[in-house]
Amino acid sequence: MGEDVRRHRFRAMGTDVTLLTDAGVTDGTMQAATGRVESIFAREEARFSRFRPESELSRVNARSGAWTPVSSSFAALVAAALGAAERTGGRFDPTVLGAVVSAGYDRDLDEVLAGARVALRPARPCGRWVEIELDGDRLRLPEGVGLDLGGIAKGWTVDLAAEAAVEAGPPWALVNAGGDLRLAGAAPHDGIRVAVEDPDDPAEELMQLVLTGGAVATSSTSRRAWGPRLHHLIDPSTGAPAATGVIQASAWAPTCAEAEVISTWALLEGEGTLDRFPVVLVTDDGRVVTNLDGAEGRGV
Amino acid sequence: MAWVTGGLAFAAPLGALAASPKVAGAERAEQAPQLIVVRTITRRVVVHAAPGTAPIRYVYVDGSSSGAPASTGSTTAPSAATSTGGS
Repeated sequence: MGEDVRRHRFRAMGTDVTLLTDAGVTDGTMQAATGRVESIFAREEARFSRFRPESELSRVNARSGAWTPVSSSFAALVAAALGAAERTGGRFDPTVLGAVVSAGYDRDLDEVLAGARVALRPARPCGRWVEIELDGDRLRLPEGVGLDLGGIAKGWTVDLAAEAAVEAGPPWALVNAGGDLRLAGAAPHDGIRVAVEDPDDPAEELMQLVLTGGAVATSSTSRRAWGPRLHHLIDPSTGAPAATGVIQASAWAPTCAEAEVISTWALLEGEGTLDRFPVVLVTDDGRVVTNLDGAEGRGV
Repeated sequence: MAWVTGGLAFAAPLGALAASPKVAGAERAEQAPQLIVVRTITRRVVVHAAPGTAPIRYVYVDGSSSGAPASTGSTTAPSAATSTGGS
């Protein structure tokens, strides 16, 4: 594809967001698509950010133990997160907030990186997602438990944005938020090339993926990390940052929200996920393992 | 009555023959199935796509960065339009 695309970059949700679409798209269509994507990110970030005291998520977390009215979008994402927790046997856990904070990720990442690089408190197992009660447009969290939807809210937003971008007129649109991306619409015949970055050096490519539909998300222990063995990917069974031998997991799924869940699951479960999902795993002993089809047949 | 008597007289030797003891070899010969080929079926293998088949494949890039030669061909790998690397 090279530069045979139009692109627009902006910053949201603490990461770089890029909208890609066909090079033949007019300025007016591009502007319309860009406007939709930016407004969706602004709206969903205001709803789901845990670093904004006025966000709906912060309001819900502040009322743990009590029934709290929530928007339909909030309820839908919580339902999706609880479904993911159930499917993954708790590997994906939306109640790891306390553990993430205990590990030191208690502020915006830039502030964390500028401050102390130590765990704040000893790790404790998570898993209290089973106690969350969701009843239509109201929600009750267990006392003392906070939601962290960071593992799914970005993908959810990417999905909404990519679909809205295509509705503005371009034949296809790809929205990439910090490596979590979704291709919507009728993909170019030769697909979109997506580089899988080397976790040790993001400027280096491990391989390229050719995507003709759906979404890819990557979880990595080297991103959002603030010290040795201190990163944002919490193993709910221990409450500590995960250490499974997989240091980066990229997963394909029809939607970005689901790809995010699977990439997190793959990183926490390790190479066992190769039997179940299309993934590319990077292990701490230097291997890159994939079950995707290659240009010359099946490659592992 | 004459018809019944005649029928029984005809069937009696057959019944006696069936009830008579048989030699071992004859028993084996009776048990061996006789195969009659009435038609030939050509088996066709149907391969179903794996449930996990996804509209994505990988191209290994030998070395680093865009423009490096792909290991699966002699042509230069096109630049990637975007990237993924964790968030």
